[in-house]
Amino acid sequence: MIPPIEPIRAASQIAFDRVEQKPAPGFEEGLGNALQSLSDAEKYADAVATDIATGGSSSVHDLMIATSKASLSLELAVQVRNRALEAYQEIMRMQI
Amino acid sequence: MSAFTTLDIVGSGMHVSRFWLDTIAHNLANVNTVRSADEEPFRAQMVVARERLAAAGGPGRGVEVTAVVRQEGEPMVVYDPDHPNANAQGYVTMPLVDMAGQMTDLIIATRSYQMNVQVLQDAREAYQSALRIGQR
Repeated sequence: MIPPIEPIRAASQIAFDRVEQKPAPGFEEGLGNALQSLSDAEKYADAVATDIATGGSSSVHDLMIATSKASLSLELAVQVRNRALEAYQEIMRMQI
Repeated sequence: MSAFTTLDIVGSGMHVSRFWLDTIAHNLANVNTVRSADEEPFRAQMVVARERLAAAGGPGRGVEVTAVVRQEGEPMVVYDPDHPNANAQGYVTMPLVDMAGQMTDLIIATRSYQMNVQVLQDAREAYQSALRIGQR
């Protein structure tokens, strides 16, 4: 059976899905996260090194991977800092 | 950490290769382990590895060791009454280790470890070149 045509409803009855827009994480937050992960990576590398030195179950490659990660994280943090500083200096040099 | 996933995947491969090397070393160390004929003989250990799957659509997460199984087969029973491990009838069982097979596996395991090291170095270089983007 074909349903009869329904009357047009008022606009207020139609529920719009409001799209919740979360603000993008700021630069400060991003840098903070990067530094936190850098600190974690270094701590982990330290722990693995101690474990190997004290005869633990970690292998040599675990240490090399952990230190590689730590050094890459450090390079990443340094690069982020360099870019931020460059941008800041560029703005400070601006002639008004 | 999610930024350098390749290093984790390579690490899992290295772990399995090293595990394999350890079992081969164990098998070769026991190549002369003779037991009494009444006992279970030494059987070579074999590593069972399985790929580590990721969420659908993503690349895998490497490899992992799931089990260590023992070599099947009938051991060789030798008559050696002077052997201290001989049973009342004077028989001993020889260990079940295929030496030629173990040596071949040793080469494969060593090379696979080296292969993972190579991937690690290349991945490191790739990450470093990514960090040089836009550098003056």
